[in-house]
Amino acid sequence: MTKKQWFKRLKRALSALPREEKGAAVQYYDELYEDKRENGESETDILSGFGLPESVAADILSEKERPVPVSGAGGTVARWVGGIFLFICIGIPVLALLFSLAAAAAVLCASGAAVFLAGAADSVWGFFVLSKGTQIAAVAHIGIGLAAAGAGLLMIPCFAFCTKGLFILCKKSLVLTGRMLAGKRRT
Amino acid sequence: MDTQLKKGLLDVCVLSVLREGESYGYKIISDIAPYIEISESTLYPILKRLESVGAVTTQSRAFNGRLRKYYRITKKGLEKIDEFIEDVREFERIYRFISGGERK
Repeated sequence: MTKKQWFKRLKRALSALPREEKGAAVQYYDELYEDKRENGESETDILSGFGLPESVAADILSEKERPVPVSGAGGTVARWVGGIFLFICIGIPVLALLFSLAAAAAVLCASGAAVFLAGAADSVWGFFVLSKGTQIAAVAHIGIGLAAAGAGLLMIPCFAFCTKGLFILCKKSLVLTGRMLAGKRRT
Repeated sequence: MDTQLKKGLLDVCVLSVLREGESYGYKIISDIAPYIEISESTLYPILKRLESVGAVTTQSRAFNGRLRKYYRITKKGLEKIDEFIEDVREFERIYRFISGGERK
């Protein structure tokens, strides 16, 4: 395992932590890694000394202090009521919007593939017509077909990226709602 | 050694290293390792805990083109060392009692 892979796995395993805490833990191990490298230790020795990133993350997560309830049971009830109210008024519309946009982007991505296939087919048809001798129509078919195929190829990665990003946003919104209801706060 | 006892001892070991002057993760481990077993994953929660209770303060400074976090002991940290020394004296008396050395 390389340093990059080790830290990537550590970050993933610490994803339950708030960004600040995760950053502090990663910085701590990164600093130790660099100090050990400067003292002549090899990458393999350092990483095997650290242990599996998942075990390191488990230790950090187990040591994490539980948040102190603000006002006992009353605070929990108020948080749940407030959380559910916010989720209904803001969370559901935002999630619906994000999900619709993601679905639209996915459809546009599929359209890009369709445009590419249609363009490619039209070009092939153009070459077929050209072989029969009808030159003007054939050249037009080839030109339009290639242009459509190019446009389709451009559409696919753009909308695939948008679809992925929007679905990730949906997931993050749900995770944030869950954290808020569970009373998880930044320390 | 009992885990909780070791945890408490390590806290004081870290503080006693910092009593000599500010230090950073790698050096703290190197200074403590000859006396008591300590690993990177053990030190991290200790430093976090000591910082959260105000026994140490931190400062990140540039070193060799990267950031290094330095830890410095506070007055509260020094008091914790004194408290530990007092506790050990008391333990000594209890130990002598348990082992029978002070019984008439």
